[in-house]
Amino acid sequence: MEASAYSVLAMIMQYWFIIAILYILFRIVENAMAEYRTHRQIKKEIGKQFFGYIEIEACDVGEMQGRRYGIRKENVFGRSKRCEIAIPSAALDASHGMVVLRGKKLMLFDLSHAKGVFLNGDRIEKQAQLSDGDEIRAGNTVLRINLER
Amino acid sequence: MGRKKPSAAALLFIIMVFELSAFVLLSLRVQPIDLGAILFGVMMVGVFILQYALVNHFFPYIDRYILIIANMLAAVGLIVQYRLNPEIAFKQAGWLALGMIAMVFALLGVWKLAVWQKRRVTYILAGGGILLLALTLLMGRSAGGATSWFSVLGSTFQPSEFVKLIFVAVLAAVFAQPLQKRRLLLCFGFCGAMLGLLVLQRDLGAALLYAGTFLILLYVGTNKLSLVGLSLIGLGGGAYASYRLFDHVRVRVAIWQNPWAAYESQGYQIVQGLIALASGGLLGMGLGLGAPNVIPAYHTDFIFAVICEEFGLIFGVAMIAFYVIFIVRGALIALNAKTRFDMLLAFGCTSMITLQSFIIIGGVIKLIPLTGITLPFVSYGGSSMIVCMMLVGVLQGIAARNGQAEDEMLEQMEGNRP
Repeated sequence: MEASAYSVLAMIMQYWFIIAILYILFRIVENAMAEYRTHRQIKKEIGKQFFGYIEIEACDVGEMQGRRYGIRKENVFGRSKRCEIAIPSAALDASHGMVVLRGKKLMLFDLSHAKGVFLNGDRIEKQAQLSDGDEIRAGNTVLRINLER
Repeated sequence: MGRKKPSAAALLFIIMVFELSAFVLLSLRVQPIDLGAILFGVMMVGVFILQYALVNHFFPYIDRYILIIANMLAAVGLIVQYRLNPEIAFKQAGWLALGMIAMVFALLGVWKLAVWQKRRVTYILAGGGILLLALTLLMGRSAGGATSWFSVLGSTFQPSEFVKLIFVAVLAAVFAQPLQKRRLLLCFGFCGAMLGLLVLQRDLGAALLYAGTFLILLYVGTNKLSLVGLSLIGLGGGAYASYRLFDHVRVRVAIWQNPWAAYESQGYQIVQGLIALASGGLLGMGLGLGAPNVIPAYHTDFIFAVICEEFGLIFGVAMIAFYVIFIVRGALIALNAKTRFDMLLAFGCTSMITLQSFIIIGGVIKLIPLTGITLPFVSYGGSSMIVCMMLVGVLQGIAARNGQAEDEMLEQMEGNRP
């Protein structure tokens, strides 16, 4: 192409380049913000429901160890597969115990027939209130309560 | 996990068209048509899309926008480099490819390995960093007044670039742990040594960069303004001392204050840069119509001036905006990080890349004294490109960790449905 023709072309292309890069900039910001907003929503959802989690600190069923369960309204733990926290341990009853979220309070209920549920070493009678860091023992399983601040 | 992401297709499409159109224009610059330019453009677009698709596919949690911005900047760099000299564009493309591979390695390294926080590793890294810089000082060849390059495998190798990664990793590991006098003093000593070595090597840009990153990480890590103030005083003292001791520093400050006085000699570079910026005006002179060859280091340090001369100041400001978005995305990754180490590492990498861009752009527009560092992703330079891509890789690795942790949390929310 001749120099003069090229000059004209280049100058015209300039407008295109500037518009293009401004559009790219704009789109990146738009898309990133939309993604951020969706992400924030998801985190809020987690936050709303995420009171804390129950962690299986020790268990005679090896692979259950270390597992964490988000605390929901009712968290039944036991041998049955229907439990929120299903632990296939022979030392547990089908529905051994339950952690219930009542408003801001977390309660522990003993549902076992005779084996009992132990809170920080002491056997509970029917129900007890839970706080952050509490240790629940049922059969050969140890559960730890972890609450979000 | 049903995480819906807005489609980036339109964005990618426009970027592709942008890049291709630029190379087509360049191909028309000579007679007969330079088909090589078009071929190169097509290849570069292909590599870009391929890399984006692959990385997005194998690592679904990464930050796409940082990837896009890095590629966009690299694309602009390649376009301008081809315009200046096709040879360096080919070389740079090679470095870009290597950089992408390095990025994936860095990504995996940060995501999968947990060694970086261990005490022993931190000590090894710190020692290695100091050793590397010291070696450069002793053995390096002088290039442009800075003893910072030495030859490995026939191509020049700039160690102060790679030491960036070491620096960030060490600082992140130190500040991730609770404050402890002994550790803090050791850290200060480490930084002092690094900065000293850099100043001795006359790599003032890198020294400024490391100092800035150190201050940022110090504040984010310790939250004590007192420490930051103390460090500022120390750094200020060091800067003043180097001003008195070193000719090189004095010259830089003098030509910053009045480049016109030394127009024929040391001020020439800045003056030509300023003239280029002015010639371009807002809309630029047009790709291929400027006169970049009169600016020394036109393909490395002063590439920003070349871009502004031909593409215009609006374009230049848009590029600065890219770096600003980079800061925001990097900060988001840092804030979403699940451990302190990850957070500090993310802040560190973000600071390194963005501070560097502001330092060199600031130097080119005579806002601050000129220093000899490259514009990340855009400037020609193998080590620079690879290290910047690795820094991006680290950020992506942390983003991957974040995403994975969040998905795991979400899964636990589902718990064990009957």
